[in-house]
Amino acid sequence: MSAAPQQRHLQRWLPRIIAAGLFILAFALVGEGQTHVGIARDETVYMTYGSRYAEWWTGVFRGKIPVSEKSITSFFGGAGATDNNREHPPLLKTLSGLSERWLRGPLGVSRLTAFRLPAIALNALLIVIIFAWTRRLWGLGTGVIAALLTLLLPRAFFHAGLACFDGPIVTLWVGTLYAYWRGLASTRWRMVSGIVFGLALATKHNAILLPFVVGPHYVGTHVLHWWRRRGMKTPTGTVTVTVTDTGTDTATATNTGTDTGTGTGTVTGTGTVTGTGTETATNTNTGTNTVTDTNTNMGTDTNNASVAKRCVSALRQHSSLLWPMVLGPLTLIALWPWLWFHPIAHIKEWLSFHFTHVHYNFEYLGHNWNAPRFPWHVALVTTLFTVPAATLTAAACGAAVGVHGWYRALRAGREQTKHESATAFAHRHAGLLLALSAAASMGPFFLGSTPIFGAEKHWAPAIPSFCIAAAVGIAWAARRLAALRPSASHGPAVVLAAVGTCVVASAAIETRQAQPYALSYYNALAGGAPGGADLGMNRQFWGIAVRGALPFIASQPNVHAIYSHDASPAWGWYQSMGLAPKALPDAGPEAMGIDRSDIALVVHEKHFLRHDYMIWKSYGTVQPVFVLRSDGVPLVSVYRRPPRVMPPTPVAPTPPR
Amino acid sequence: MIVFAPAWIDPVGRQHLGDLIPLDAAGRLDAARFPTIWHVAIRNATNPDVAGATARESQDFDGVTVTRFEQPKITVTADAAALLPTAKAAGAIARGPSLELAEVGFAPHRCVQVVPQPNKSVRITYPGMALGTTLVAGVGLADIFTRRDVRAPGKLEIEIGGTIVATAQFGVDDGWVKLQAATQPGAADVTFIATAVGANARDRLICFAAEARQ
Repeated sequence: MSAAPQQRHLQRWLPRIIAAGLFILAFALVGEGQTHVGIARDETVYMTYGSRYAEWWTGVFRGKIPVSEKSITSFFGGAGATDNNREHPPLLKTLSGLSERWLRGPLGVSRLTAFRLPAIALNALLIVIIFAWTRRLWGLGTGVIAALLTLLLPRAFFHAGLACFDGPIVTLWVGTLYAYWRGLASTRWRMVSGIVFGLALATKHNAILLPFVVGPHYVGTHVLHWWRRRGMKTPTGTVTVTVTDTGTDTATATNTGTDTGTGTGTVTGTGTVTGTGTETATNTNTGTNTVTDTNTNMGTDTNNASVAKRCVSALRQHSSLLWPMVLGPLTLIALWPWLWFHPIAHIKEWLSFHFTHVHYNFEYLGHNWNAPRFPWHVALVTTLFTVPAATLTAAACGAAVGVHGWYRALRAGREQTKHESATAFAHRHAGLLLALSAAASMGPFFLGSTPIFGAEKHWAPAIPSFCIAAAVGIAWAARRLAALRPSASHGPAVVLAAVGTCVVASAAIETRQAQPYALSYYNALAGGAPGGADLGMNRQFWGIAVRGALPFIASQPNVHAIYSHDASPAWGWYQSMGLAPKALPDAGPEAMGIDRSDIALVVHEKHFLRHDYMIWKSYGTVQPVFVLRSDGVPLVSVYRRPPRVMPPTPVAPTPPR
Repeated sequence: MIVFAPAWIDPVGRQHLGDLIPLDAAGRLDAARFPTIWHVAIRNATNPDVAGATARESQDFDGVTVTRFEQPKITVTADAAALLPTAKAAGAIARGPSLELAEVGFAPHRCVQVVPQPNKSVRITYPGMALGTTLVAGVGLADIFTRRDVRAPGKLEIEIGGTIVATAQFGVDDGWVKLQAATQPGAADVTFIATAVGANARDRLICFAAEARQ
């Protein structure tokens, strides 16, 4: 094989090999990392109902469960707003349930890991998508860096390993946008974008924000395209006119002036127009030919094709929007049996649950928030404190470079606009799409009425845009560095690798150190976990850190019932996994459970201080016997009831039998 | 009394020194009645309970700074919480009164807790309370979850000998609100009037502590 084909072969396969490597790396790292992570309160619910949904689907395919409103309601619906967890779409839960059913056991996959595998795989897919998208826009090296930075986000890495929706929705959000972007240049991808949008809708409700990304991007770029092309009758360069029609062309072209250019025009079909140079033409086109006229046109084109054909043409032209609008909801309905009956009413119930959701207690900047108006800056500040500082710095650099480049292109690229279609123009503005993605994902949290429970996971789809911007910033910095010594033997690629490695290594260290308590992670700007505590930022949620206290609890002799606080839903899981003593049952909730217990734990969040005080009152001491800490910050306290001073038991007469 | 700073280090402090912190001290009305306060701090933080006290000695132990603060000694002549069994409650009572160690403003407070009916008041009278020169009280709405679910405020008035001497209205985000009134030393009937303000003011867990001080 000669050098040129070898080069082409390498160029074709190298990205695929890298993509496969990134997938395996992400899958392995997150898959291993989650084995040290506790069980989230909500995760137990999703796993329970995931098993139920999987039971229904397999039962249906085996003919054991009828497809009826009754059976669907009993597995997926119900009268109450949270019956069968119908407030959340089923895709991830169903996949988790099927995974647990099929993959548990083989290759030593534990039950918990089996539930989590679909989310882990989807996260690996996200890394590949980020690589693919960034590579197409900014090159291979930038793509690799963007992918690694997306993988090495401490909080996102943590969520990626849970059988919850917060990781998967990022994949399907970004996947929808990538497919839409590819669809601006490919009809096949338009259908893909519709299906992926449907998968996103079937995963988490914040997918309903995706039209607020795609719509503004499509409309905005088309308006901008029109704006830039208006008044171009008096051209300063070459116009490319592409007319697609069906029939025979009867065209009159009058060419006046001096032919000085080198443009070419081709009519495929009956007739050929070949012109060069400046052209003044009046074309009446009623045929089926494709005319590509690259001459400078000083006249007018009239297309007499039928209105119907023009409508079809318009639909085809705007199918980037139409496919998601049609296929998205259809995919959602196909995957969610509960919507097979009364779909409008059920969709309304699903969404109204989230629009009227109870406000959780959440600590932010020292205040416990549980009622509107919430601070408008929560998404910005929390992101500022929870994305690795090096990644943030590079992202700021990349965003500045991107905005500057966009502005320059707008000023200087008028000529290019003249030569491209509106769709091609939109395709070229991928940076705007990424910016809109971040804005739409974070947007609701600027309203002041959107609950801030759960912190950064609710606007997690915004973060890949930051990582791509960071990679662009790193590439820019590498180019600047390489330009300082243009005669150096190493090329820009080596400098890019060096700079990229520094930033990626920084993110990797932070991600490694944050696990398995990444909900308590804060970056260097906040001062780490202690700095986050000083600032009064949320410490954690879901009771997930309790797993770290289990070895101590298991070591305690003579305890008979535990008040397990926020880990109560996971307690049975911990017992079945052998992490908690089987002979130590959960004593029940609140004061009654505390009074029944002889060992108690409290997960430290500001609003959970009340549980400390309830234990103090019941146990008669303020002294915990164990405090689980992350970087010095308390996460979980464990109390043991001091020996009771029991009054002597009166000897009661034996009751008559 | 031992306090820790910053506040988030409190569990670690209690793990090591909690056996020296009685429940009454942990659930204090304020720090004024403690002539000596041991302040255990990291990261140069300061607990607000030592504001106004004088640092007498300080020593650093590998990043943990222990400081002994002192302040003038005061005498508590009567404690409303301790005297609750002698008090008489009347009015529109939904629940209570009871002696609790409650969360008010994300801090522990040993207090008398009473729940008036919405838009109604409860009068809790301490007959012949031994007053000093000052009557100090703290009050707030207990329990973060009922504060979240019901946003209506509460009100506390202190009446001595038929005269209102102090009043405070407190909302869900006001925490522990202090009241103070100058008093004539000697025995007097003191009434605390707790009101759930507003027709929707259900489950107002009004929690108050009061000390007569000399």
